Amino acid sequence: MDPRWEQIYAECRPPLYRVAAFLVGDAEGEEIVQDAFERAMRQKGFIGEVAHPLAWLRTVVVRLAVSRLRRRAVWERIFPLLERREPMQASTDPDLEAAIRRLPPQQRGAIVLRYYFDADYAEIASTLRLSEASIGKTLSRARAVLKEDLT
Amino acid sequence: MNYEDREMQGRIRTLIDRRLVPDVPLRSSGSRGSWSLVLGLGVALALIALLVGTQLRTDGPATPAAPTPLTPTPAPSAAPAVPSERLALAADLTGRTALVSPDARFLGVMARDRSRAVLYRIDRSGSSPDRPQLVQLTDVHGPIGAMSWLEDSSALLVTVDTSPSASAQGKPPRAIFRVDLLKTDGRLVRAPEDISAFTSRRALLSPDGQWFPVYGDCCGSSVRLLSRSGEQVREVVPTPTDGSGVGFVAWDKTGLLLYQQIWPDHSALNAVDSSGALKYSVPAPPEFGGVAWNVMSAANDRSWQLIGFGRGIGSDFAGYRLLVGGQLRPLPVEVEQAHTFGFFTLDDQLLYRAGDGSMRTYDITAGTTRKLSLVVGRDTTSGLATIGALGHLFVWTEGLRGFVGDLVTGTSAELPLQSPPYVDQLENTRLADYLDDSIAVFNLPAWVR
Repeated sequence: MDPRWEQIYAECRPPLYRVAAFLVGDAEGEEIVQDAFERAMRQKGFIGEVAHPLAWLRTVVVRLAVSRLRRRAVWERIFPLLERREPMQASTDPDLEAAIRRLPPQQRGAIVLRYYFDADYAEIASTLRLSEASIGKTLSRARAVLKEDLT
Repeated sequence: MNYEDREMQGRIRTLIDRRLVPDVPLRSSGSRGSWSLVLGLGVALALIALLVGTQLRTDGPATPAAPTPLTPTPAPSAAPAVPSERLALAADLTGRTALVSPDARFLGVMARDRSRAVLYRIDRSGSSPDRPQLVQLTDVHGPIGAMSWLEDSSALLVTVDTSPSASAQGKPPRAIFRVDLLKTDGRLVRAPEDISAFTSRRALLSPDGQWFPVYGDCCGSSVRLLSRSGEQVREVVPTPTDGSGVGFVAWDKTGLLLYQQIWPDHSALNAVDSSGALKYSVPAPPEFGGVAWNVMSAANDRSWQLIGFGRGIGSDFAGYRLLVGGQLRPLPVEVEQAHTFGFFTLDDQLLYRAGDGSMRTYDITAGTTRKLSLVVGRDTTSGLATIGALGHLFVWTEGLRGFVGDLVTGTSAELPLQSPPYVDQLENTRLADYLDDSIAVFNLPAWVR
């Protein structure tokens, strides 16, 4: 393995893990982060070719997390008795965390990209595969729900 | 972004940033664990794909079709034997959140689990000049929020989270931080308990050297100053009652405090004296709306300050203006267009990287630009990121490689930075590179001789 991967991993893992674990839980979050790195390592010439590894990796992580949330939502609708909850770390802001968890997966992803990663509308649109024009609406809907939930 | 959004952003960041990150090594490709989960999800995925008709797509962003090799800066000049020193840390500490003092004589470092912060003196009297010893002066126990150095290196500021652990009446707990000053003479001073504050990475002392700003636990609250001794708090701007938000921006040349006031559709910069009396006010260009004021670069004597007007998030800048003598001036178009790689200061002139890679200066007084000898990153597809100007030297990264160049002579050399996202500019053209288990301090002139 190219030793530069260790460095990229050391630098990028903390924010990626935090976001992944926040979105889908600790165990699946770890899986997603490892999956993202595996995909990056499979990309021929990733090192040197991808200008911003963290941006590339966070795109993968958020896509995978949103994708898992969507699948989980469907799974839970179909088999409520088999509902599986990932173990979560104790929250420092339980009300906010609960409110964010009630958001649809896409809105959850958009909120994290915008507020945590400072992503612009173009990046959010590209990551979530939405039109750039719809991002403002997606975010404002999410904000409105959060505001209502938190008052 | 309005203040409600900023508050939300602050809460979300705190919520996510406080998650513990377990130490898990990078698994090499094809050796992943937890196959049961993968298998289970695979079965679920197949079922769900059938049920919802989701088209499976690759989750990786596109990469360029043809590999683009890194384009290094011209060949490095010969490097001297001992151009840097390494500060080794105890196992429970991490360099990722450490801060070397601006004068490079002290080190503030935090435990990995944020349970304590320690102030060390860097002892260079030993027999290994590249391996100084760390001598503990004092410490404080956490949970630690953030650290900052007073810009005169006289104290390490540490915020300690004293928030209530449980929410009351269904509301999230309010984040409350206590500020401790770990003085470099070994004393520990606890700021008055009634301030809820966090500080920036480098606390800016007032021109008389006696006060520095502390911020409220949430944006939009009052503007307060803490004395350099750590014993007095002064509220200079009370919390507005008209729905606007306020925050410290900078000190001006004459010692006035400049603070921003932001409404949903407009904003202004107000200059007040130490009693809070308003001396002048500068509105933001109306076309920008309710924007935040950020100082991007400034003359050493603060005779000019370059303001970047932000819409609140990251690089979402509305535009730039020069603040000179209490008035805003536009930048020449060619200078403003160079904003992508940042603005810096060289000999009290504005320094920037032009589109062709050449470093240039803009003389604020004469209104002229000058092309310098140094070229920085001709090929921006290699992941160019600028770090900053330290005297006549300029530091940047291309991909994972660091470089230092002389702005006057144009010579440059590779600098073995190991963690470019975690570097600090220090006095006397030194640069700290924060690794997980240690800190490297580079003496930059030694690299470009």
